[in-house]
Amino acid sequence: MRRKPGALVPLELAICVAAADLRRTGADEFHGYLIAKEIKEHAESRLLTAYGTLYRALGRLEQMGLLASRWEDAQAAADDNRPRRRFYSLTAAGEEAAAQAVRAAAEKRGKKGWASA
Amino acid sequence: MTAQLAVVATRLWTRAYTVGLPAAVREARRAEIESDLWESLHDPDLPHPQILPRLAGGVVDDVWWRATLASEQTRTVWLTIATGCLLLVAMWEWLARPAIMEMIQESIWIYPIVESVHVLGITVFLGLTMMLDLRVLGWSLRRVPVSELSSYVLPWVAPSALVMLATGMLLFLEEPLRFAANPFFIVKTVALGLAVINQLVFHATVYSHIDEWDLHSTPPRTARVCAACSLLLWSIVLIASRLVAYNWFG
Repeated sequence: MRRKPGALVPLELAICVAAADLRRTGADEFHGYLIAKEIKEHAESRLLTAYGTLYRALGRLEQMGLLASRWEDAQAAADDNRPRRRFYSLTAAGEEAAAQAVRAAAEKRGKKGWASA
Repeated sequence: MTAQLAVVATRLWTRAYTVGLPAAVREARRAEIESDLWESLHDPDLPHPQILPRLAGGVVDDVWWRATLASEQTRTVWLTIATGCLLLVAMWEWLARPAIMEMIQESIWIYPIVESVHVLGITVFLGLTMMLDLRVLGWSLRRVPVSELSSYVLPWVAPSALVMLATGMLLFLEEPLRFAANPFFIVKTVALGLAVINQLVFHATVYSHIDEWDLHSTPPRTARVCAACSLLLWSIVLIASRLVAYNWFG
């Protein structure tokens, strides 16, 4: 089944929201493992997002223009004695998508609260 | 120890599903997974890295991602192979019945007709396959793009392969025990299997990024090795097929 152009699946929304939260804490850029941890904490899940699922979603978000990415300087990675990281950052469109997702979630919660009152 | 095994499994899987991709895409994915593995192993917040569950949970997405990156032509080739295999299995199920086997053995016409069609199928299939192999080796048609030659040749190669295999099955059913005991038939079957694997490797690896070397008069070494193996194996198939007819071991 094809999805509507511009529509985001829950994982893509979760990535945008988690990235926006990271930005608020001062981390403008994130790598795959960091965002997986952030999503796990948000969702209070036991497991981190699978490799294939996570990197496929990051790739899609980059294609949609909601994320941008760059490879870390090789020297910086060599100084820390670890592999190079690929850093992602939220674009303006990504930030807007995250804000919309947060608003939609709040509205949903509000409706539920009103219905149960 | 378990974490180290999980790391090795993840690396092997990542290598497997990125084989044949353009170098930039392949290296980017491998480097990204390598970085993630390192972070997992050095994260003080998660003393038990969840490498295996993350690997297993993403396999379907990995395969899907790889499939979307394959060229249109590669997808068509895989679809043709899958359809062909299904057709052959169905055909075998239908043919391997006593009534059909009896009919082949008793009729004086069926065997020669089937054998002639088999030889025609071989002629078309091997003729065109060898033409393509010679181009990939850089020994003929050097100014013709490989993809252009493939687009002319492949629509004939696939049906002729099916004809060749279907009629081959019928011939085998005429005297299955005699064929199965013939060393040349065993050599032919092994060479045929290896030739098919060689074709699959060629299409899954070097052919999937043909746009990088399509116009090269001498294609990359991996492509040439596959073409040389193809020529050698199909020649063995052909020679062994001919020798099967001689009852030196009967």
